[in-house]
Amino acid sequence: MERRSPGVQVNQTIIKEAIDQVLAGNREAYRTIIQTYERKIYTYCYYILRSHEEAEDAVQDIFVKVYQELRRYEKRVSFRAWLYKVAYHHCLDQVRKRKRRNRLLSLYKEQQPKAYYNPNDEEPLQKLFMDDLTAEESNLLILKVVEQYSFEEMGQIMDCNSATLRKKFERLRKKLVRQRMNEGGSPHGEMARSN
Amino acid sequence: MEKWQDPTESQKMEHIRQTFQNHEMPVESFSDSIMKRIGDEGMEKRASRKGGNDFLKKSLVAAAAAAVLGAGIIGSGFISPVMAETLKQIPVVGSIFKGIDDKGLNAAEEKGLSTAPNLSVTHDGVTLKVTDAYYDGSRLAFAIEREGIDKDKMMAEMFIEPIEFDPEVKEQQYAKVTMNQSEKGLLGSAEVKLPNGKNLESQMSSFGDVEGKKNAILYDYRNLNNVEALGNEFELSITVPVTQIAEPFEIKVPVKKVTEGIIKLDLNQTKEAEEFSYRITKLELTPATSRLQLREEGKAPTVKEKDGYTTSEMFYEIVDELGNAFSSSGSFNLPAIVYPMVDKDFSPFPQTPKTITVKPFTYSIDESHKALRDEEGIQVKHYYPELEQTIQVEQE
Repeated sequence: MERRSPGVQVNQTIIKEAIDQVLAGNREAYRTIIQTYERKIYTYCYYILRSHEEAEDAVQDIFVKVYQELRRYEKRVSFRAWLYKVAYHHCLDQVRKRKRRNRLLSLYKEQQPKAYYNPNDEEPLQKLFMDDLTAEESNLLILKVVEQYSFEEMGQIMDCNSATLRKKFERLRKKLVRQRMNEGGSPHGEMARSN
Repeated sequence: MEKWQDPTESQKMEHIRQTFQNHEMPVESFSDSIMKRIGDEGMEKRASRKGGNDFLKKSLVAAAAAAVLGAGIIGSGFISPVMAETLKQIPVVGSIFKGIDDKGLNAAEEKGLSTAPNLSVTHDGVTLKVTDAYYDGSRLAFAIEREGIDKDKMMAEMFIEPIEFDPEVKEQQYAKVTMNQSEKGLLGSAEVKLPNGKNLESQMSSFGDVEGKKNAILYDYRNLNNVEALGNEFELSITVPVTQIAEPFEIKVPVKKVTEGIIKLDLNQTKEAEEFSYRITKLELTPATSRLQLREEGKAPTVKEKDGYTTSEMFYEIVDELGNAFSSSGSFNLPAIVYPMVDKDFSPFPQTPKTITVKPFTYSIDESHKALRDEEGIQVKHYYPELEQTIQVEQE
């Protein structure tokens, strides 16, 4: 079942029709799908990867991947949730690759906390996502608070147990309540996959 | 969603939502670059979903149908569900019919009912070869292989221009179909001429790339109309336009009519309920297709499933005594009309049935010609048990 976040009403019939059209060979219909969801997915990638450049690459990679795998999409889950699933796993891969590649860079980043994002973006919330939350926490916050998915749906997106997610989210909530947004924290982002 | 414990916290959460939703992208849209990459990389060939339009990458309904029903329906759900079957995942070796997951053509190939003409024509470095052909009086199908150009895509992109209705023109109008000429070596709609010089007429024709096999295309014609007088063996003249090659490819293909396992029944059985009735006039069963002809009369039944939806035209499902069931295609144009003559094609039955029950049903359609779907995304069908009737099929 689809629940919409306020202000972002997506006509599911149009999306379903577009998917059918793409599967029937009308590639151009995929443009509708991209334009409906690209901003959401871009923003999601940006808050997980904390880099405009990486988010730009990621959103394109994700939509290409979704297109290539479209035949595997089963209509039992909402298309948006499936899109997030692809995005989540893609970002997870990126974070892992980056972690291997950039251990030294993250040491550097500790001294230069703003190196990963555009200083123009600096406002309390940006800082919260960039500095105070891990990538996994950002992911939880977006899926739960912004997209308002149930823990079961989040479990499907992240391929993990919903009870674990519930606990993690409870911890995150306490952290947010405790924390003032303008206080610093750990700059290191890392996404974890729990089962 | 959870209740937030204090106003500050819920405000913070609302702020997060707002910020996230108002986040701008650095460009207006990534769609152009994504579409370009998709064009370069293509869709994964693996077909895993049953019932999807996997078999044909693209399918084009004949211009004749467009003329009758209006060009608007071509993009939306008019592709026959019979055509929309999945392809086997194994790579295709040898016969094209063998590798297609079209049970009718598989069976025809296995039983040795199809032929392998292997006739070819070359123009401008491109060779087209008719590798497989099947004909049973109700269905004609042939596959063509291309040499000289090597790419997955075989079918040209087709532009269909809508027909402007002119009350002065009495004869049937055909939509103008043109090919996108930007890439060389892609095939358009074939012209199939009979020995009497007339074009082959069919209720449903389509053609499209064969997934899982490069350089292969299938042309399929069902519910043939003007072949009865032709006898069992004759020669077809097939002309195929190819992009960026001026000269059309003309191939003469001998066909031999399949006569085994064919059942043809002339019928006259009517069922009536309230204001609607239909009379079944003909049933044909062949190894590669099933065909049902009937006449509708009266006023189509309506059913209110949901606000904003009205009832589609009548569709038909045929079910044998073992429960094998196939549905007809049709259009989602509104208002639904009653057709004086209906000629539908279905998938073939795996074995000759003893009985066939015809079950009329309708879909619920909204203003934009979209069918109502249930929670699983499946189109909702409404059956009319009072209109069902059973045909006794004599065993051979």
